[in-house]
Amino acid sequence: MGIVRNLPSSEKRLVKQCLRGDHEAQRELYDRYSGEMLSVCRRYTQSLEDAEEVLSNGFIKIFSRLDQYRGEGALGAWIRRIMVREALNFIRYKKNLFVEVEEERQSEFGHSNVKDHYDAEHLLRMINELPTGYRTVFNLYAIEGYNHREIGEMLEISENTSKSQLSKARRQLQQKLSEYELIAKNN
Amino acid sequence: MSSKHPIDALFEKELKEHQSSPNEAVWEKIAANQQGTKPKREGIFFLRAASVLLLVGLSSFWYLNRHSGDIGIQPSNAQQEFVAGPDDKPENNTDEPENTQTKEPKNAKAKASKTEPKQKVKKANSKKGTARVIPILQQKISDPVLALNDLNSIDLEENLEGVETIDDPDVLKIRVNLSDIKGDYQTNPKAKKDLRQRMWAYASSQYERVKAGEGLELPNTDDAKIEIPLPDFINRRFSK
Repeated sequence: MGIVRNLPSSEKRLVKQCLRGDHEAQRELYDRYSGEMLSVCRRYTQSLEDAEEVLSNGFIKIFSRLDQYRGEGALGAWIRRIMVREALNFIRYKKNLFVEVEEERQSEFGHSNVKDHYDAEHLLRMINELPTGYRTVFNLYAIEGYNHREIGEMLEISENTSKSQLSKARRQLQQKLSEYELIAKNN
Repeated sequence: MSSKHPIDALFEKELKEHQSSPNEAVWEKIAANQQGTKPKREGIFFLRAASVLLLVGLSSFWYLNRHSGDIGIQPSNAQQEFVAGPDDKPENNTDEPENTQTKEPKNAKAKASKTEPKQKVKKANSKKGTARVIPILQQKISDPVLALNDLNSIDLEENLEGVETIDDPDVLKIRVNLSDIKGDYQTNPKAKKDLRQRMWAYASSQYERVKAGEGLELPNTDDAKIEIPLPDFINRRFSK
């Protein structure tokens, strides 16, 4: 078995036990990564229920494909890739990718308007409120680190569409951040 | 590398490692799904075990035949015993003349011709005129397969007693002499180990064939050697 050469020994053991169908090991793997993966899923979906559906389907896929993991990267990164793809499949299934919204003209905010620290749950909510297309491209580009060519291939859109969706997403997020700051200041 | 857009940087910093607690129902759904799936490696184990069980059956058959004389089942004057597979008809066995060179199917000849007669037959303690016949594995493929004991290299030219076709032209019955194989075989640990390794390799190769959707094949007999494990070896392996 060519797996897990570079993994820490605890993960190596865990993967091997999961491959043997050990349910306790599967639970341990789930406990180790489900929190972070739920957060990933929440960024791509609009509700917690949808996110949990993606999470469960993603883990089912992870357990069924664990024998394909060759240990060529971190286990967490491999799990995250599967989860992101599962989220994209979910969005496609819902057929609500790239539902354009009428965009209001927004004034550009300067970079100085962005504070250093915000509450993560608030930021998550801001992402959730974005139209699906904006949200998906922003997540893939800004947080997962894919480039526009890769995003274009994954979503079957042109690079220019990816760029324009990202730009619109940033604009909307910037507006939401300003509103958030204003509310915080008044309180 | 260009600096990251501040909006991107902010969201990445706060959300990339962010964690949420999933509802327990999520795990219950996953666990319920996992209950219905068999671990792949466990499946491999069972297929291997199935292959080995096949070998156990074959080897038991061979073992009992080999020892039947030793424990007095075989009459002392019964120098030959004809053994064939389940398709064998009794009337085909009873009146086999001893040492008769029956007509050999051409593919049997072809197979036999592959074996060089250079192999020496160990006939330690063998009694003159005593002929033992080991069970014949039968197969429905074009080339007949001889199943001979590894530790007694068999010269086909000398020991092949008879090959004949029965009802099914692809099923052959082959008789061979088998010299006394007591001695080394029972006591030499190295020989036992070699046999064990090769038998395990054989079982593995059969597993690969089954996995690929092919049928089981009998041991390769290009060198006229049998590769069948003894039951006690199998027992040891599985009792670990």
